[in-house]
Amino acid sequence: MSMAHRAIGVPRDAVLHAALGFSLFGAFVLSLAAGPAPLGLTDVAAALFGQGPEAAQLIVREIRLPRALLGVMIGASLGLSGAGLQGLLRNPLAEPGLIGASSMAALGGVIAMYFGLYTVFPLALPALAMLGALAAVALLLVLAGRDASSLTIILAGVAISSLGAALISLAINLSNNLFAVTEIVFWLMGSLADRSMDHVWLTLPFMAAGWLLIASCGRALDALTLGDDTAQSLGVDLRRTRFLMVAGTALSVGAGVAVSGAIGFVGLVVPHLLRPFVGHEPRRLLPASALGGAILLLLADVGVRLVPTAAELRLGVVTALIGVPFFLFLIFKTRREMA
Amino acid sequence: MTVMRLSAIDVVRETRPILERVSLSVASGEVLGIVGPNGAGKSTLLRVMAGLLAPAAGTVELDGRDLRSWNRNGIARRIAYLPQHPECHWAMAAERVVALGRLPHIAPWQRPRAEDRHAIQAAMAATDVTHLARRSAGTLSGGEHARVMLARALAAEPALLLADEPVADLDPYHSIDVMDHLAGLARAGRAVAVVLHDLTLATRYCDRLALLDCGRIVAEGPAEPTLSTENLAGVYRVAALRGRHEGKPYLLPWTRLPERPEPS
Repeated sequence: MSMAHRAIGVPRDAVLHAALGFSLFGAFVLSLAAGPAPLGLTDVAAALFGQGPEAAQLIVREIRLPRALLGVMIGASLGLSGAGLQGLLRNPLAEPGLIGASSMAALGGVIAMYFGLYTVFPLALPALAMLGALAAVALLLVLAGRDASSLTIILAGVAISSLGAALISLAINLSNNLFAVTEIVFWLMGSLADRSMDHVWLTLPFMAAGWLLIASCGRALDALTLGDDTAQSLGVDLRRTRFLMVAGTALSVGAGVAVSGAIGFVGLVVPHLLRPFVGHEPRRLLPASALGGAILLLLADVGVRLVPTAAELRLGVVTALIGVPFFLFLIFKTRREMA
Repeated sequence: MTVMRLSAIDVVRETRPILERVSLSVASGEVLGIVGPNGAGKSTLLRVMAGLLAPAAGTVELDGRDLRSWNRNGIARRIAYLPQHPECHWAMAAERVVALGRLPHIAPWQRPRAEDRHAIQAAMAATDVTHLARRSAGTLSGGEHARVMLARALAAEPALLLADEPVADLDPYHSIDVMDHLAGLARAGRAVAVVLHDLTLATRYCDRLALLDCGRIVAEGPAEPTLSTENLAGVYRVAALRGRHEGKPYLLPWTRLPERPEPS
């Protein structure tokens, strides 16, 4: 085969994936090693495989391992769905929060807390949050209807997000229990602290299903680069693609919000940072963004544990503090390109 | 051989008819020009032919089979559609944009085979964009962009190419260049249907013209009788200069006429 032939094949991104995989491994180890109990890397490794003092084993296997695993899963969900939604809507400002799934999932969680359901049945919170995300999708499909344009999806998403936020405010407003209000407000800020392996097992099937749905859209997202009509003329079923993307986002992000509370901007920032490394191609961006999202969320979660503040910083607060300036920069850049 | 046949197509938007009883066919080896004033229904007709818009009445046949009985990917392998002002949203390399045209031939989760790579290379060579392979789509000039998009459509090796105003944004050099490519495709045995505003190019390059006005086909056939003085006056309200060069007719819209002549 000539050089030209090889050049025309699909780039495999092997180097990029290796670099991201290596970084992810490093971030995962850091996450296992970070915490108030002073454990060295060898202590952590020993405890992970059931060796060493029982207290260390308990800390690593019951506290830090689920936290790190959830960081990977939720970060990957946010990165993957952000990349997918930006491809679907061809809007660089799109992110999972956009379709209202995050907000409605948070509402589900708040309902579980407001009525104290989760004190009776601990898994009520994640279950209701996922229901909230699915309700958001159902509502989106009803509002946007058949053959919805990208603009319609964005407007419907804004409406659903606002509805979720309004109902959360209503719950806080009506609550006469200061303790419950504090709990709700802190949960909404997002955190991975004090989660267990139960959370991992409960949410993994939903997230994995969501990842598969989004991954199955890769081809269609590539074709959508050329616009709706041309993509259809290339054999893409637009309605099916929109449904798969929205359902995949609801499942993976909804399950994530259920465990961690609202964590914003990862799905916005990561695809932007990685796009130049995959030739700006939507399909190639998907796996890269999943890895990138996992790395960013793990590092942010290590960050909240290392920064010495009186109360531990909330993960959602940190990602927003990183994300908002980035968001403003994007708007500024978009404006400059339009001018 | 007839590739596509439309019979008595009606398209209605809200309650307004866009196309009324349009019947038309296009065969391999010919360039069919679709002409008519703004709002005549040309782009709608092309979208019906591409299977992007289902007509309210009438049938579309591809290879003698009702288009409704084809699956989406089957249509995509036979027909390539080049919209007016083709967009490329992300700053992908030109070569990767052209490769998108090959998607209908590549099964999901499969990598391109040797024949796919050949088709992509051949399409880029045919439209003279091989040297632009690595350039980002956002940095191309208007003429380069149009040729890359044409290569994208050709990469599918379609039996029928549908092009909506492919020369709308191009200077004379590149307009003639693109039309030469379309004529070359027809000579190579493909069928080409092209929407054109430029009647000079339409007269020169199209084997057959369909003249559309208010959603109806007013005249159809070789360029000269279709764009007769009466039809130009009745449909476009213009008069044209005519002549011959190297045995081929040419036509140049020249003056505006005051109003539509009353039907006698």
